[in-house]
Parts: sequence; structure tokens; C-alpha cells
Amino acid sequence: MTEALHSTPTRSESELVEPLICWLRARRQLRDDALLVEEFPWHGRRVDLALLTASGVSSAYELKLAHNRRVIEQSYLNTVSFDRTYLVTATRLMEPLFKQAATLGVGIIHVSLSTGRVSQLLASRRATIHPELRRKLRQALVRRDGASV
Amino acid sequence: MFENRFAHFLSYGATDQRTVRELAGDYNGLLVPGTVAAFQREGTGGFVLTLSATTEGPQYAIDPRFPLFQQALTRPKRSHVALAELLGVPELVRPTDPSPADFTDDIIETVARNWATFNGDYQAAAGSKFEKYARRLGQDVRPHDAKAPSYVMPPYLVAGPPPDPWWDVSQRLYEATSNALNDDGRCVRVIAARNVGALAPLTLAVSENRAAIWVSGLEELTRPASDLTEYALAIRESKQRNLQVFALYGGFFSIMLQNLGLSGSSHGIGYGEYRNWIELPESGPPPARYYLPHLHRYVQADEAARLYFTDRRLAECECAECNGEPPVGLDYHALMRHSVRCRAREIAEWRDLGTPEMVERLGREWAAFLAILHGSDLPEVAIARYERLGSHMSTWATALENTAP
Repeated sequence: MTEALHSTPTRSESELVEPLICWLRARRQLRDDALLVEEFPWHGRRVDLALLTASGVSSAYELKLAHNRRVIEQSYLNTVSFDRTYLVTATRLMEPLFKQAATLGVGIIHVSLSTGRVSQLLASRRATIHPELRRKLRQALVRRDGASV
Repeated sequence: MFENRFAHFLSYGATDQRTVRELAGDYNGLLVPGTVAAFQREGTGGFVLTLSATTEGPQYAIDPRFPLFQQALTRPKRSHVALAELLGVPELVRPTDPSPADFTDDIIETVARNWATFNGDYQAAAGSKFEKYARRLGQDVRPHDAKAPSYVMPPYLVAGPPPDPWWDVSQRLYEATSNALNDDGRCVRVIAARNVGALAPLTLAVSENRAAIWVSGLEELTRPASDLTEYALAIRESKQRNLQVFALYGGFFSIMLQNLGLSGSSHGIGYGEYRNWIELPESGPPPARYYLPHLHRYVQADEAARLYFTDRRLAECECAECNGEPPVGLDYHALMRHSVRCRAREIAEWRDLGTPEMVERLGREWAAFLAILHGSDLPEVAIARYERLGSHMSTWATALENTAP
């Protein structure tokens, strides 16, 4: 038992990426012609995962295993520039945080690390983006496309 | 630094050339980091000297950034090495912390002599690059019109109050450089204080009537009111003793110290309103941010956009760059020019106010911002965030109020 515990690697947010990407592909929200950039630098912070579809719809995903309060605020900042913004978490949110995310228009996606099952708990509200910001975001994403899948 | 009513200096960086060139006339001077001057000698020289040769050419001085060599440099940058070599003591770059005793008389003499020579010969620093930068400037300037540094800042170290042995080394560097320059009147001592409490005792230890000051890590936005009051009082007491002081780093709070005796301040373009003396292993300019004039601070550009689209009165700016348009329209250079224009406007608008009027105006600005914020349709969590972003406004007002005799 002790040995098993010791050999368990420390969990990190990156473990959420693969199940999320599979899920997005399965839902056809991520196609081959989309841009997907990890650790996307944007206005002085990094968006964990940024997606731009061929039709020009952008989504931001902030990944967090637990302790989601701060990341909801960060996700809220993304709603200025991204059409859709999500918090991707491995824990179930407490009711007040869930309500806060709903108020801010931030969607919530849950990833079970034990089963790999992904489910959307809350839809993201589509934001109204200023055309200039939309153009800049697209430009920045295309520039950083080295990490596309 | 000392001739203007409140001297507005910019800290020079190679990426700022365009802003510095285009806004000549909107600021009074340039502070060129010694590391940059040493590493990009001809390029920096070409840029600074051609600018100095114009009729509206700003003043300039080279900051020796000597506290670099007061610490271990385990991963030195090439500019660190270039500066140490220019000073004639390459071993200043070392992987272990030096002690004051390492700064022998020989080292001090060598550093002082080389620094005086570098400053004395600076008009020739552009070499063959003068023509190139003159063309970029688009003006008919000649090498013989290039001006020497307006001031020479001798190498200095960060120190606590005397008898801190680092202050003793700093004194010896000052005297040796001053002697090497034959005391030509351009020497400006830098008083670099380890913390805000050290500033007043250090200013008491000098006999000149002007100096540049720097309190390591004095971040105006986050320091408690008591620290800012202590800083302000040290400046006022210096003035009362006939010591004019100029802040090597300062943001909007420094502007409000002008009628307490601060003769000017310098800031980086788009950042750099304070500096810690400990070098970061990785450094460099942060991503371009938007200077939000309503809160006298930088915010992320999309944050400014959020405020503008919520209620344009929260982030609207009428400077020549913004012209009332949303902040998202500004490209990198426009963001930089916007920040310098805002600071110049702040200096002009606030310079005739007494301290009580400044306190009143700060309070009025903050109250107006809050009223719009709370009257908006922003969710509570967002309002709380913007309240935090502006919390320094009341701290500054308290700090100023507490300077009242």
C-alpha cells in the first residue's frame, strides 16, 4: 500500500488535456482544421488551452484540478476576448462557485481522472467580442500555432 | 533632473526607440542603463547621441546599475559581462555574493576611472552608427552637435543606514569618480536605499545639494500608506536641508511628491515604476499593458477593454493615441506612447496642486470611478476585482494626508 502511494506521480493539470481533447473531438468541436494552442500567452497571462475553429469561433479553457475560485476570475477575463470560456476541473464545484461561474458566463467541464469521463456541467455563454479584439486574438493564435494538434 | 519644475525622465530600452523618438518634447530626459550602453554600445550611442544633437534633444544620463555587482550572478547576461568589462574589472561578475571588503581601493579606482572615461568620451560612442540613426531620425544632425551626458552618475551600491559598510563602498566610488571627472559639476550621487527606512539616514549622510534616490522595491501600488508617508517625509526633509532629490524610479505617487520637494522621477516605458536591487534570473519587459489614467496604473489591455465596454467613462482617454476610442485598438507602440502621454499630462495637471488638493482630487476620482462601477451591470465578483485594482487610490490619499505637519 505504502509503495503504491509513493509510486503515484503528482497529479498535474496537464492530465486534463488529453481527455478534454478527445471529448472535444468526439463532439466535433475540435476538427483537423482548427487551431489549438496550449499555454497561449495573452495580455500578460497564459490561457491553458485556446481553440480557434475554422469558422472563427474562439474558446478558452482554463484547467484546474481543484481550488477553482481564482481560476473562475481568470476565466472571466477571457470572456472579453474569447467567444466561449470554460473552466475544466477534476473536482465538483461547490454551489456558490457554480453560481458565480453561471453569472460570469463561464462554462464548466468536469473531467474524472479515474475514469477519463468528461462532462459539461454548465454551458458557456457566448460573449460579444469587439472586432478589433477578435482580429488581434486570431492573429496571435495563428502566430502561436506551433502547438496545434 | 533638477532644472525643470518636475523633470520627467524615461528609462531607455532598445525596444523603446520609436516611442522615445516620436515623443521627444513630451518628456525631459532619458536614463540609459549602463548595461545597455555597454552591451549595445554603438547602437545605443547612435540613438541617444543623434537625439541629443537635435534642437529639442532631451537630457540624458547613464545609470551605472552597479548594484548588479553587489550580488552573485550565477547566470550572467551578456550585458552584465559587457558592463564589467567596460569598467575594467571583469571579475565583478561572480557566482558568489561579494562582501564590501572585496571592493579594494584598486578596484574602486579602476571602476571610477573607466566610468569617468566612458562618460567623458560618450559623444564618440556612436562610431559608424551615427549616420544610420540620423537617417532614422529624419533630421540633419551632425556628430559634432551630439551632447555629452547631462549628468554623470557614479557607480553606487544599495545600502542600509550608515555605518553599513556598503554605504562606505558607495561613498568611495562616488569620491573616486568625482575626482576622475575633475569635479566638473555633472556628478550626481545616487542614494540607493535597501528599504524605505534607510532613505532618510542616508540623505543625512551626504553633503551635496542634489542627488538621485532609489528605494529598492518601493512599489507604489502595493506598499502600505506608512511606507509611502515615510518616503515622502524623507524627501521633504531633504528639501528642507537644501538637498534636491530626483527619483530614479517612480510612478504616479512620485508626481504627487513634487510640492514636497521631489524634483522629478523616471520610469520605464510601459512598465518599470519601481525596481528591486536583486537581479531576476530572467527579466525583460512584461507584455504591453494599458495605462488606465483613471486609476493611475497599468492594467491588462483586455481588462481595460472590459471596463470601457461596460461604461466608457471607466477607461476612456482623450490622448492623441486613444482619441476616445476603445483601448483594444492600440498596437504595441501606441500603448507605449499612450502611457508616456498620460504621465506627461498627469505631471502638467497635478503640478499646481497643494497636498490637500491632491488628497481631495484622489478621493474624488476614486469615488467617481466606484460610483460608475457600482451603477454598472458588472457582476459582483468583477466589481470586487476592480475595487482591488484601485485600492491604492485611498492608500495614496492616506499616505499624503499623513505628511501634514
